[in-house]
Amino acid sequence: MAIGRKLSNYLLLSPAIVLLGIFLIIPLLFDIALSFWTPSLTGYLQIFTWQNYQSLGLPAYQQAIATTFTLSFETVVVTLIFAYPIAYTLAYKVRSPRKQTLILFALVVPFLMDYTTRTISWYPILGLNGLINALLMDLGLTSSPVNLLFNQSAVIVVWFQAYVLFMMTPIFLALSKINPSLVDAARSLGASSWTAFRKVTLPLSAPGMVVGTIYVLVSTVSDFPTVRLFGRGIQTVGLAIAQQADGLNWPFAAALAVLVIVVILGAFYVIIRYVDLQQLF
Amino acid sequence: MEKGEFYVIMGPSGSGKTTLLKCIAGLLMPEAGKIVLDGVDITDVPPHKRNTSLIFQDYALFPHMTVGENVEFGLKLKKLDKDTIKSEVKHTLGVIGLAGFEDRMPRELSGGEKQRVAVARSLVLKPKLLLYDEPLANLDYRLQRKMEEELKSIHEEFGLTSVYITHNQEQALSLGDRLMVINKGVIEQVGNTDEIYLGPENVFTARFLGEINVLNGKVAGKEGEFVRVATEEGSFLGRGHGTFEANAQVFYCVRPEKLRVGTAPPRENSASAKVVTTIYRGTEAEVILAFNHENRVKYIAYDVTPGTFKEHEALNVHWRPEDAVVLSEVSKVKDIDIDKLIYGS
Repeated sequence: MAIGRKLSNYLLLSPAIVLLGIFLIIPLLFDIALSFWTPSLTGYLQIFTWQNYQSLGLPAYQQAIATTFTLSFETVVVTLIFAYPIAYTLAYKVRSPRKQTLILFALVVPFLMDYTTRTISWYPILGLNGLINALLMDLGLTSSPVNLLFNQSAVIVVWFQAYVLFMMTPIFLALSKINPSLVDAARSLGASSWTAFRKVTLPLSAPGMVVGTIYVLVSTVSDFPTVRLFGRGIQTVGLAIAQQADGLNWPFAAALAVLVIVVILGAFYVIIRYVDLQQLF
Repeated sequence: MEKGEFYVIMGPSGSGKTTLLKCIAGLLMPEAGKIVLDGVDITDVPPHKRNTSLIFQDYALFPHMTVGENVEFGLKLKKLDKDTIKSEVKHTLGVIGLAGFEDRMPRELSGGEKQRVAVARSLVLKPKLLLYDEPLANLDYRLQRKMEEELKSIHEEFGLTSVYITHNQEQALSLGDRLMVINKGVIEQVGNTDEIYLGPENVFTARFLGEINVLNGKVAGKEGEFVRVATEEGSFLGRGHGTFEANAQVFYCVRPEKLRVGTAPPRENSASAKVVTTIYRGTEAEVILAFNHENRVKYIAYDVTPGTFKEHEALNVHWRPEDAVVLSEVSKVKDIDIDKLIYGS
């Protein structure tokens, strides 16, 4: 019987396994192989070389790698700072489940819009003749328009808007799962409300923050269109991969991709070692 | 409340027990009234400065901390030195029967062990007031009985003033020095546990604290210290508080264990009845009897062998006048359905 059940489990999983195999595992293995092949004018030659990985050491790419992870890290911090209070309010201060659903829905509304439209909409807001500059000048805070577009802050603002929900939702879920008696118990054992938050609520919501961080990290590291549209002159690994692939230097693009994957997986490993994600489910 | 007392607050669900306890702990703000501890008004003192500690029905152990970390939580906040904390935790876990459990995680513990840790976590702080919120409700029956004994001996050893809320009459009777019966936020009766059991002031208290047979009747007169009540099944004598007007509608109540059966009828309080059914409970048997006019009463018989009471067998039931109480009040709360409150809906 046990074998029968095991078999049926695999049968149930098989569509997912086949799909993941064809569209994720095989391309990934190909990517790794590709990163060790020699670039040519038409794409690649199946000749082994370390050349692609050696090129990663060039100052320009070192710079791109540093910028990529700095930008992503800053976005994670900003989304975390804003998402946590929202999630907290939603989980504890909004009592009726109806209102909770309504607010969650309101937060999702911007995502009913297409990525390009939603992103391009920042131009009339952040631009030289945009909403914010008009407001600043009307208030007399500045005499000439401030350059708000085409820098790292612009990229972070756009990413924040695009990904804050992916940070907020897992934190909200983690907070909702915490037994309210725990905070009462801490208070009754002599903890102030701040101490109770720090020692009970915060550590118990850590899995939510970790999942949110993973979402935001993965999404931002690979998001090159936003960098291209809002960070004129800023070079990131994602953008470099796109450029190298456009230039038909596929092996080098593959090596860059492998680097990103290794760094992200490394980060996951560290996070999972220290935080028990099972608490979330 | 007196210092060192084990005070039980008892009431059906929805009676306001937990609300009252949370107000004492400072987790809820009372809309009116004052909370005074050791002569000091603590109504506006935040919970962490009250020197009270609440033990929860669902244990509320911190799942991300070990047993040791849970127990030392409050001591660490008091900024005691490490050695003192360690020895206090060790001592308390020993008392509660969990010596050596310091490094276990709460999820590895059974329900009873969890509740012990919860008790230890509060006990270790030696609060002025230890508050129990139905701590045994989630445990199975045998474990409840065992924990009752343990809580009682812990109370004797530590001498901490305790408030214990429950809807379980056995726990109320076995643990409490004093007892408060509440119903829908209203105090029905306060007194020593045995006084309330033997001398309930109204039908709600009488029925909520243990089982009792109730017959409707009318006051027929006073005979010395007793009141005579005319019921459908005859006229009986019983103890009555206060004054009773002639012909007033009253309830004549006798506890099942106070009934006697026998062939030689005594002078007072006897009636003939038939056996309806018998429920064996091991050490005792509950015998349901029907009087001539079909009013049913329960009789508790001890040390019976199966077949002692046969269905439809005619018996003579009698009881002493001092074992019966005559009550005129149903409850301090108007218009209540006692059956629904006692048995749930």
